[in-house]
Amino acid sequence: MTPDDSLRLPRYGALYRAGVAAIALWVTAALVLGILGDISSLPILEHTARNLYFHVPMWFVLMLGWFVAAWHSARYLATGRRVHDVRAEQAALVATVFGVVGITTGVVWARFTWYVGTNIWWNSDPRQVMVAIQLLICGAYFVLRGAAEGDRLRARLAAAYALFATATMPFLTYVLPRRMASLHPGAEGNPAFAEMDIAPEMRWVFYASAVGFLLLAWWIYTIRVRTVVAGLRAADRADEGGEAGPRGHFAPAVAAGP
Amino acid sequence: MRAARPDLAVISRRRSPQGPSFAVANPMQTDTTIALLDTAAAGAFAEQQPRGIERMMLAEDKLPVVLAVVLIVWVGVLLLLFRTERRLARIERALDRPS
Repeated sequence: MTPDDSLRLPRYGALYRAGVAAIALWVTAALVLGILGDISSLPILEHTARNLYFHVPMWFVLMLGWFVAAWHSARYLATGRRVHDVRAEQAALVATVFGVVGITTGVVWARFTWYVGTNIWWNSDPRQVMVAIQLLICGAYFVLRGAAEGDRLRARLAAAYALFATATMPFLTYVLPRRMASLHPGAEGNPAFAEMDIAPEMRWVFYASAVGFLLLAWWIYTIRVRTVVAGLRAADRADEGGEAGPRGHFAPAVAAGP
Repeated sequence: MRAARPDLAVISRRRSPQGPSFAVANPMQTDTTIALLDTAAAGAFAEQQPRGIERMMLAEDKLPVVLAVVLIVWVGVLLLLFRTERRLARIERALDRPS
């Protein structure tokens, strides 16, 4: 297997460009509907009910992104193809950034609704605390990558750890918070987003927004994967040509032989 | 002569005994900058019926203004994404050429 084979990506041609243009329009439509659309006017929440469209999709990106990272980590362990290591890292990175945005927006939302007048920014809502723990577990993945020396060792350690980090995700973000009293819908075992939790006029905007943000995250993820792969290919080419040119930070940490 | 010097004519009008121009009763004729700093004059603006783009933007607790700001931010993000993607496509084409 040549180095280029292990980094092969699909072609990002006309179909891809049409797709990302559609994603841009889709998210724009979701923003317009989310901000101007009808909402069920509730006490405490008022206009902040619209945050449903922007805060909750961040969590969907965190979860799905880490499942993608786990998938590519498993593929890396099975095949050793470098592209899976690149994909796993970038999926984890995009997902974690969206997760951090999610927890930050949640803190701001709660502060000016349920906790207005109390000066409480961080409350002990079980979902908030457990998601913070999950984000620390996710963050450790990048610490591990930074600490491991050597490309192959780093990739294998990171892949094994990503499987663990993703395995805790359903429990910390889904199962355990539902078994405790929480501000979030779905507490105490009832299904989240049931008829009682979301007004019919808000349901479809919410679905559109969730799909839109997932696709936006995918778009950013493809750009990042392609950037890292291009950097690795340039480094490989410099090695083949015997050039001692400057190496980017994508280049292998271990020098090639004496 | 004053009539031959327009700049002097302006100065003399400002010093007219009718007082400073922002004290004029009709707020539409006042100096806008001063009117915006002066809450009483700003109130006089707000009492008028909104027209044109204002009628649209002031509806629903001024929510459309939020949309306008969000869309401007979003267009900026999109421009960055699209331009990064194009630049990346150029680099990929360069890498595909045999060295």
